Amino acid sequence: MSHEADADTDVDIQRESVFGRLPLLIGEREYGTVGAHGTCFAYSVATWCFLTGAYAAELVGAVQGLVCLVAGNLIGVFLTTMPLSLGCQRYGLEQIDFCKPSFGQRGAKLLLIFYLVKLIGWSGLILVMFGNGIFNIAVALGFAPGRWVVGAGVAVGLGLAYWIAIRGVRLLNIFNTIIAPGLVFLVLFMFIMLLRTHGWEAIARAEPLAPTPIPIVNYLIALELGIASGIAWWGGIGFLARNTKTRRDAVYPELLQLGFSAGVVCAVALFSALMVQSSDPTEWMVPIGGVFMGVIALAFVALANVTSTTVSLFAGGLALRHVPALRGRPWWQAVGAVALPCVAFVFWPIQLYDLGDVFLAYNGTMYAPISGILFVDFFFLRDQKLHLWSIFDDAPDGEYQYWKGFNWLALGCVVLGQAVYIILYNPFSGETHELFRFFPPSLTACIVPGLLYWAGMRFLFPRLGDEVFKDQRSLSTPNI
Amino acid sequence: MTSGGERARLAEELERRLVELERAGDEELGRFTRWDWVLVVLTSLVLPYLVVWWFA
Repeated sequence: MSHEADADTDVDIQRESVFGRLPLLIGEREYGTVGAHGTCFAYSVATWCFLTGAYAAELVGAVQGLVCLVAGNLIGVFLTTMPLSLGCQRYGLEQIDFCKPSFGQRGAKLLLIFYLVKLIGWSGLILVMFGNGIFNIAVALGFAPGRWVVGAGVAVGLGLAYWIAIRGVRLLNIFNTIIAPGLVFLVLFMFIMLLRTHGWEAIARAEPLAPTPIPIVNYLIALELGIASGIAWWGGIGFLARNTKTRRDAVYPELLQLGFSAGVVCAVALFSALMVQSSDPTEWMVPIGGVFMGVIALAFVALANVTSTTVSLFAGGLALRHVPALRGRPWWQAVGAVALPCVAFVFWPIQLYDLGDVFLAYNGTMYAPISGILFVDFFFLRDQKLHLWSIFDDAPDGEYQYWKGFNWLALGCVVLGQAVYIILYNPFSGETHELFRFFPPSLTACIVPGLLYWAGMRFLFPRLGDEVFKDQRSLSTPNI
Repeated sequence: MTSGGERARLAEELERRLVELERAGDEELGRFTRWDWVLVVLTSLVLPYLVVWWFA
């Protein structure tokens, strides 16, 4: 019996390290160079790239869009990935735990709110895409469905995603092994069909769908969409990096795949939107591939949307394990807490879908300041050295307690960064400041809070980075 | 992983891991040198901005 109990506990510990908060040992990590590139590539070819490309098509043509999406994605991923990748890989840490040295034991948990808003927002948008897919399949097959089909589709997609998520990661992985290569094929198919049918010259000449009257503003907003799309990977980077064996495997695949490859996929989506003159990805497939291939592609995209939503629900459920009230709750309740807000998309699918570009830009306001603070904290203040014991210890005299668990300086700098972003470019109203032409909002909202945080921490904690941590062998108040 | 005994075992396991991870160095974790930094800053920050500026 005791052997069985030990075996059960070992399984629990393994599960807790891979899917929970125990730091991963080097021997437990899954990704070498090929594995890291493959996984990041599979992540990068996701259906939300279609939405990003479609939003960019409203503002710019093919060449400028290609530049903004690829360059923007690379810049965004660089800003967000460097501290997270090198930190989470070095210490095997889960993402929110990595944020504790800068934001405080309890302050880091506030970042969960941003993280969950992002997961819920993207899930909702993708579910509406699923609903639109069902609507357009019905249209392609000669039916005349009402728009209520979209809301009903969201309900069906959400139910399916929830059903898969509560069955655990294995079923999700099975779906992903089918979906990821299928999406690569679909993107290639779309690109080849576009080139064969229209040729590059026509694609390059196609007019944007709904540009503003000022061309440079269109260009810079499209760049902003690209950067925001790259920065929005914030939520997945720690999970990938802590699973890699070497530092280079943590950094290069994320830059190449989440930055460059995702930018290229967004650009193919942009070309499709320009040629079909629609920003709804589910309206591209039939005109590009014909009715037969179009309906198959639409059905496939719909399925891909369900798996993308499942990934978000799964990640959200794991993130909620940081909340003490949900730590011991059954898995279906944790996932349910993430799925519940998505129900709003059942009732107002079109209205919320139309806010998608605003939401994408808002990702920049959320994560740019956080990325700047983490960058400065990890590289310039701490010289890449963290006191691991204090991350997992709730003792009041711990290194990362600050003011009752909150580093108000870091949190204040996040709010300031968001304000800077909105002053330069308000994604809700579309208004831009005169300085918008010289200072890209995401980059400025990353650098300004980062510099202020650096100055503030140097003033408040002048010995930061020089301290010698005491040799510790036990935790007084473990928070695992 | 909610009962007292299991939680204690988990905390013990955590302490073991922290000791092991603190000891790990470049041999086990791989290096990320100055040249890596130069490469990623050039290709992921400087070059993209130059291309964006060129097409503006």
